[in-house]
Amino acid sequence: MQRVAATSRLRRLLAVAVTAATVLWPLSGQAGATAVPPAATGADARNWLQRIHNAASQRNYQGTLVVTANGSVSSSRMAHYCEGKQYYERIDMLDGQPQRVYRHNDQVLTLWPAAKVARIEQRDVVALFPAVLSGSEDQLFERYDMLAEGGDRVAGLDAAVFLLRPRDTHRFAQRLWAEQGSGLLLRADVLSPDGRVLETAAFSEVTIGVKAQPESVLVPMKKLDGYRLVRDTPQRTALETEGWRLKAPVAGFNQVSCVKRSLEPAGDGERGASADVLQAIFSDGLTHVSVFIEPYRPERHRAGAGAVGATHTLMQPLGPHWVTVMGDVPMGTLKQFAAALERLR
Amino acid sequence: MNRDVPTDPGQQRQALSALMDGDGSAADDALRGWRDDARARADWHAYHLIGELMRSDDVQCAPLHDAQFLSGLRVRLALEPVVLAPAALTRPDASARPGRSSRTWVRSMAVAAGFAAVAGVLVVMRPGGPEGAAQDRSPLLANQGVAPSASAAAPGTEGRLIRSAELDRYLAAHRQYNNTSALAAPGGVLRNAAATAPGR
Repeated sequence: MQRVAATSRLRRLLAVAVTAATVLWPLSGQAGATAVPPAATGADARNWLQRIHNAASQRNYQGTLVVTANGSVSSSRMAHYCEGKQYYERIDMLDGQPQRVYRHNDQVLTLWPAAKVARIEQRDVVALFPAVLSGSEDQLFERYDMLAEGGDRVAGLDAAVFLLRPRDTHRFAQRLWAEQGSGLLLRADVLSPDGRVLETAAFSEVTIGVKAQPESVLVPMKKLDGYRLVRDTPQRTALETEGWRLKAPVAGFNQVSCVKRSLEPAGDGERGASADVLQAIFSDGLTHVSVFIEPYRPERHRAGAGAVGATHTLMQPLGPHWVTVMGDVPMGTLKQFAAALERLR
Repeated sequence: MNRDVPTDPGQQRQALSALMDGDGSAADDALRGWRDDARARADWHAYHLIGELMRSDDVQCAPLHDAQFLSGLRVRLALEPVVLAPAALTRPDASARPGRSSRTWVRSMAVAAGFAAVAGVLVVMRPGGPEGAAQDRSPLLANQGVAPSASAAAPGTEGRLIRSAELDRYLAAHRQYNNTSALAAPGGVLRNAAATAPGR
């Protein structure tokens, strides 16, 4: 089991973050057959995963989310409603600069009330529909074992605990807490190979089965007076079309999407908003890696590598191009992606 | 009070800047400046403000508030009786200055300790890969206020990556695809919850 004592952050000058993440995690990997925890058998594991997935989209719930990583804590209020095939979501950041996110199906609106900026995006809906799930689920079980770890209590609710343990070193393990009744994910930890918690996301309180209030999402989505509207419209493309490829695939990761986009908000002329960035997305069914390619601008780009929580990032030049590889995977995996990237023309 | 050789202001500024970048070799100059020279303190504060502004769009702190905090801290420090001079802060060359009375030494250590407390809060990290922007003296602040030693040992930090508005843009673009996971929301939402700054 584990105990994560974490964190307090006071803002600005007074910020002294104390991280005490103690993880006592009996690693069962070495001993093989002798130390296999109560296994969630294939069907059972799939069943739970399906429940987690369905609960997330089809239940009505609201609560407070807390994300803890590297000693920093950020929390947000969120609500999710489902009415028929309509999905509504509202997220209110409680720390730092005010930020609100509203989602109606694939339309996502992000508001920064202080800066009076509103960003409108259209997102892929793949994951909203369980029928699409099967593919990534199969892929997931090729790369991870799902182990049942008994029960626990999160946000006042009884939860079943599972460990998704990777079968190789290219990815991180995740421990999941799913509410017994509904299957709603109450907490998810990303774990490093030596069992440290890299990042925890959890509900500190949540109510499942609330009354749907779609108007609480739809009304604010129309109230944009005084906001500067920014449209985020990634254009679908393919890595090969843009003259790139991975000369060697990275184990377990399939390309799921590739878009051309501007990372600069529209209207931001001073830095050259026209600079298009190519983003290729690779998924192993549980987590994903983004490879960003753009023209190299020495005055702006600085090579580096590091992590924010579980999200690792590697930035380096590749000839006249600048490559940023990012994902919740070990640095070695990012390096593989970077090394495999090849210019076709 | 000031028995030390007066330092050239330019040199002092450089010492401050170096200390901000985590270079302690000129800490003496920097500490002295911070103790004796109100303008050095103002510069120190301005450097941090610049660093913070460069670091992120997510800055709305009132500079006056910081200044008040710092001057308040100094007043409080001056009033604070020194019970114990922290041994960890003893520098090898401290013994090589027999001219100082122990009282002065204790007093300056108290200021140094206060300085270190502030410096510890405002950790400075530098961007750049192994080949590093070694000459780059632009002050940039790390996202979290952890002491340098703690941050070096902190789990999960593999390198010199700074949470900046720039990085946030990549993060935001990356996290839009959280729904490619079999878990989807709220895992995706959970992970998405980290705030990002709007572009200016």
